[in-house]
Amino acid sequence: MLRRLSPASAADALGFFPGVRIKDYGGIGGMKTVDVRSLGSGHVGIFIDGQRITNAQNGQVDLGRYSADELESISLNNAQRSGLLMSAEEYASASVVHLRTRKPSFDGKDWNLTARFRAGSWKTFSPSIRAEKRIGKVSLSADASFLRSEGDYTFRIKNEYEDTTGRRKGGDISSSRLSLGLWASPFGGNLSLRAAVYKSERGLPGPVIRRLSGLYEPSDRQWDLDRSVQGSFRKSFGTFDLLLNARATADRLDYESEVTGGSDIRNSFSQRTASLSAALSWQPLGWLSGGLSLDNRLSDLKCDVKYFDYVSRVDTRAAATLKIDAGSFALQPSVLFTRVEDFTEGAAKTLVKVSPAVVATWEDGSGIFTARTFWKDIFRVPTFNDLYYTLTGNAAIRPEYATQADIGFDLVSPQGWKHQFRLSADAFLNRVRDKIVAVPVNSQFRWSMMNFGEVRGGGLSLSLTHSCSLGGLSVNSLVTYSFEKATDRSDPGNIGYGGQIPYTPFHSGSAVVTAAKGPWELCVSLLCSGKRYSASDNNRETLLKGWSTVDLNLSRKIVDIGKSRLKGIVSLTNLLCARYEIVRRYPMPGTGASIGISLEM
Amino acid sequence: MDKMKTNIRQITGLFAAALILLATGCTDENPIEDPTPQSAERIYILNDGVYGANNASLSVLDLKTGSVTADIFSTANGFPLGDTANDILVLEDRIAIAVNGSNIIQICDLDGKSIASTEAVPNVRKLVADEQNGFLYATSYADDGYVAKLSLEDCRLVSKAKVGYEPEGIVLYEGKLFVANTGGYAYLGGHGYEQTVSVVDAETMEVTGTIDTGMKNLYGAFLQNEKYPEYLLVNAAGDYWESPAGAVIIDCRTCSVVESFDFPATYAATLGDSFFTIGSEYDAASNGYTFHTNRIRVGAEGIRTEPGLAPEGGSADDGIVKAVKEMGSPSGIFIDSDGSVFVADSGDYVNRGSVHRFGADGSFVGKYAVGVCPGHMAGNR
Repeated sequence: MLRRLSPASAADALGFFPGVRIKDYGGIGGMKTVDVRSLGSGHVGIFIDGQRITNAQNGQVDLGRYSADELESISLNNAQRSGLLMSAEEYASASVVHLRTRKPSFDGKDWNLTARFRAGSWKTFSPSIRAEKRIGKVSLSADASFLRSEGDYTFRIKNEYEDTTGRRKGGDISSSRLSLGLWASPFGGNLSLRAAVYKSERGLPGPVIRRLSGLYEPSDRQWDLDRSVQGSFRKSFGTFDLLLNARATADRLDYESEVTGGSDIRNSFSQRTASLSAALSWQPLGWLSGGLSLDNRLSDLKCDVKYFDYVSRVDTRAAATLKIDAGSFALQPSVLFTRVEDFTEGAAKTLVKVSPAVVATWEDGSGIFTARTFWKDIFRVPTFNDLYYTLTGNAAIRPEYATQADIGFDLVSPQGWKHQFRLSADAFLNRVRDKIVAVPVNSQFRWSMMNFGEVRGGGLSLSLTHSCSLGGLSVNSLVTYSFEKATDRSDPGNIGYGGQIPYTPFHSGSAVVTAAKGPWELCVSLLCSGKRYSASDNNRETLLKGWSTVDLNLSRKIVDIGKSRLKGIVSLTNLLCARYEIVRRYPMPGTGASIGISLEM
Repeated sequence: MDKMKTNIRQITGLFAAALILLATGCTDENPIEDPTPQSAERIYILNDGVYGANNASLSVLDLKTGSVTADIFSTANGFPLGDTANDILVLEDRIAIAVNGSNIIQICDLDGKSIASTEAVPNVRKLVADEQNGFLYATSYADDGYVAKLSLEDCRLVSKAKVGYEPEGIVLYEGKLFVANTGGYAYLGGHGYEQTVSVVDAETMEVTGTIDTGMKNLYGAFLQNEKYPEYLLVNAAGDYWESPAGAVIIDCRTCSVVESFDFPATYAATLGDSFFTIGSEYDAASNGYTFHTNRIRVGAEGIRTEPGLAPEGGSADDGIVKAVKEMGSPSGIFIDSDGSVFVADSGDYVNRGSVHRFGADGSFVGKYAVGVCPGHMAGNR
């Protein structure tokens, strides 16, 4: 499904999952963060090949920089994955997103080569190349791509108060990416190693506000250099399974803000992490199994923001889980122990917490119907910015808690049916306490981070997948729908009390249909969002109208040259040219088009 | 923040006096004896909006009916005021608004219809007008701080005067502009907080001197007394770390500090011989803030402070002081000539705020929902 959708990045693909909201400021270079069930993007744990991508400074992972070309799959789990052999970190978030990179597969030969080139609207072009080689029992891969876009799309903001049109300036991006992978089976186990470098420069245009002319068009600029190396080793010893993970990263961010009539402010931030994790799972009896894991991570941040001292952090986590299988019924409680200690001028108190979760499932024998329920109480650790940023940081900040309860079922068509389908339905309740928010202290000029806020929410989420083959035509589809009510319960005296929290639509949905026949493949996707409000004081001024976008991808195998294959693809995004904003005053692009060719050898 | 336009009152007073003379000269009928000025018919509330949200707005509270019109500007013009408004002047026949986020100075009529606007003063902060000569003066944080002189008729830029870093408040006294320098960008490390008031000749736009207040970051109320406009109240916000907040009174005749206070006067209004102040002081240790309320009297008997905010019968726990303590974020105070007190509450600075109205004795009259971050109020008459 991933390849056919032809999304530009992991963020675009995630938008099709129920309960997921992608916060997008527009343009290819803009930051894209994911929020699941309105708990807040800080509560989503993002993992690549089983290891967490972290950002101790601001807790945000920009999914826009993970290219979908490199990924085998993207999955989303509420609460946590149901597994036994998981690192402690996998228990530590309210929702988890797993990105898995493509492992090479060789069809008789011992090397593969794919070259791709895409060009499209707003002067976008992106060449990429992927090479895979097998040497004995070892597989190697190298994947490189370059992206350049001017991002100068036209926009229109039209409502009862204005009709503003324009062209986005300063929204360009240049980025390059290289990743190397190795897969081997030493010592009777499975080893995978991955090294990746990402380098980019981009402009970030500000919100569209009233102007008399084009005289002032401030735009920030950002430079990134991210390097990471990680490895994973897995081996079975009879009833035991062992998983060892190691990861090290070095990220550098340079950020420049334009000050009208003044000199630009430029700051540099360097973060490093080193983490180790060991997990063990054990199945001594048919009905009893369990898992244990221990993780440790060192992170540090060095920056040149005045009065923001060097800070380092040690995160230690341990998790234990037990699974009890009683016929159709299975119960899996788990507990996570977290200890976080910071080292800096005015460091926060060491954080020590114990967080429980429990998952229960009931399956009918045939594998057609599964009912499941979970309850989980977890938190997000305050980031370095929350605690120590000059003037706004507050070392007394407590973690932000998210408690969830969910009940749902899956219905799967029996094997052998002509039409294969899967229906999943969930009803859930959430509560977020001690929300970490920026609160103005005595004027708009001076804000500070505080634990202030509580959100109570609940909703429904449905998804239906279907696939069938009729003659030479194969059709796959996915339809999702979400209903969500998330109300602000921070301060009864506040005018926004009881209102729907910002940027949370009541209704949202998506649909993806792909049809393939012979050399042709067509994919049509639809994303819908109902109305939402930009503030918890829900009124006409804060209302943001609903929107829907349709994308279309059409690809055709052009020719086979020996064992090589040349494919062409045409993509149209926002076919109906919807004019909308996801974040208020940041208009999204209208219709875009791109063409691409790929050569697979 | 409020801005009583005492120079407007003076001009109106002079005009009325001239009329009286003319009238009594022509006829013996209708001898005008009562000198009490008319109170405003409507209160204009400038809602700053949230930075980047383009939701600054101009609300009007009709004092007769007690009803609020949410946004007269966008209704009158078909486009919104802009992003992050910072100051408002209500003049004889027009209103001037500084829209800082959009870099716009907007002039409109008393019903909100646009007359003229300019982008000539980016990062514009505060305004003062010389209606008699038709000039508008605006402070700007751009280009290391300056005062711009513009035409009140069509917003045309006339000249500029370089003052201290990040100048904020500005008043006009006898042909001289007094400008509060804040140095507010000090947290970026380029320079320290300022502690001077610059004096500029309004006609030539030459800086004639500076007044050292001895206190840092002159951000907040900057206001002349109504009855004695030579007395200028200057708030100092402090540097949020070591230098505390406070306030001073400057005598504009001698260009010197005549009194200092150890309490902040972040928001202030003036009526007769008094300043009514609400000061907010941030305490880093508790990560919270406290509000100080004071009444400062000036005049022949010297400068003295009294508790209370009610013009008649004020005390340390009068109705207004009690209400201010309950508010989420008091963000402005305005007093009408009949003693009615209006206090703006910005709440959480993201959702809509409100304006509370009290009688001169501090009794509660009404609470009105207005726009986001109601920071400035002004009346018309």
